[in-house]
Amino acid sequence: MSLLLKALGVLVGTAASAVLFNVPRSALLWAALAGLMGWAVQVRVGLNGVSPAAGALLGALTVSLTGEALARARRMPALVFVVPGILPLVPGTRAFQAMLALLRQDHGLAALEGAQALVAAGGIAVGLLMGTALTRAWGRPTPQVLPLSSPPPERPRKFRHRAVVLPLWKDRNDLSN
Amino acid sequence: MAGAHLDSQAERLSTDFQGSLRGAEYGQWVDTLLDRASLRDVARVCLDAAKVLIASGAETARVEETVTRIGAACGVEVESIATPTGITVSVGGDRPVTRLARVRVRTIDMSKVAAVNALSRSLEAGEISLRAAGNELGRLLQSPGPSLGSRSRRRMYLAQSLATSGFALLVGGGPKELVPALLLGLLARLVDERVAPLPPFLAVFLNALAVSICAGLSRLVLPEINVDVLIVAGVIPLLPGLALTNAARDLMAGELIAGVARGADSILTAAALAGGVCLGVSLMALHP
Repeated sequence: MSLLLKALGVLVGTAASAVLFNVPRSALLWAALAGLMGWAVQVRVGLNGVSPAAGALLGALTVSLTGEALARARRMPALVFVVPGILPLVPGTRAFQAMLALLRQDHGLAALEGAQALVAAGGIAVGLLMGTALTRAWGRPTPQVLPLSSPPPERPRKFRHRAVVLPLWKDRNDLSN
Repeated sequence: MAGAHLDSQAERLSTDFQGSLRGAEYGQWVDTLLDRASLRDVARVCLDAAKVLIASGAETARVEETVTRIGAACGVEVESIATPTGITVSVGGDRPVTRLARVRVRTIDMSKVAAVNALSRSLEAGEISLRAAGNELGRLLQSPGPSLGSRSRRRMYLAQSLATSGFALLVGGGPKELVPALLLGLLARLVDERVAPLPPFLAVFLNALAVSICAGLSRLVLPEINVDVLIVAGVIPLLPGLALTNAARDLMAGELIAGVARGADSILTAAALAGGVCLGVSLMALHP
């Protein structure tokens, strides 16, 4: 029950922060679903008792791969789905506990909690890196324009281009024409 | 009449040329077929697209790729160097037209990133002319950010309060934290608008400070409330998620300078956030 409530919180929170980032309306639900999937993977991994960093890594990897797949399917930048999607993975409570421990001058606890929060944040970064690296191979091919730097010498100079001024904008500051 | 003439020139640039000029036999002559004025127009469109992308928070690799795509759609070679703070574009290989632009104000506006992405796609497919793309980019450059129009402003307030209460559920809040979280989100948005002109790290610091102080004040009204949940949920929308994502994507695309710069940006933002929360918590004596 509490897990369902949290899942609802993830959905609402991710979609609402997507609105904050001005994500296009047609992508809001997809961004929220990417966030939900990442969080679900993180929770599932956490149930097995492995380190929270592994959960954050796999969650971020899920978000990144989902975002890239959605980007291909919906013809939008992957950022649109990934940026709101990783917010539920952030180790906010742990970082907050570390800060509280620092304020109480309990340096042992602060180091423990802070290290765990840092490692989880690093896990998110590494998960994003892995997802991007895995999908770069299937990206759009970069357009190739043939190199122009040295025109062949056999072409006579007089046949080269004569400047014909045909401006595309009559008045460069008038955007209406 | 002059307008029709200009239209045909723009069409020629973006559609007729692209099929024939990709061929190996014409490739070397492409830039000699475009006159200086046309090169300048291509440079202007490339620069405008890059400015919109950088100012809206796109990753650097996307900026350079978009610029190359626009050039390829017009049949000219374009080289560019983009950083998170500016762009240099050089259009045409032999005697290039080179322009640069600084981008000083950066916001997060995914709609504009998606719009420029779609624009470069349709320019490449020959569906719109260079001129139409230039006009659309001019409109995007001049259109206000998401937080300025009054309707979208209301939407932002609603979004931040919903985000805060959603994350309050996530970090272990119950029904009694929901309404305070909604109010806290509204307040965080209000502070966000006020501190937006300040330097970014100071703005995040002040916003985190305001969130933690107000969460502490809410305990005076409702003593049984969980203030930690409120603070953590209140600062999650302030986290540097975009900077972290962009750092990862730029590093993997080989954009080392931009990747490292964005990584430093995200670490500094997180530090400012932590400092604001620390100061607020100790001022309110929440955890003596």
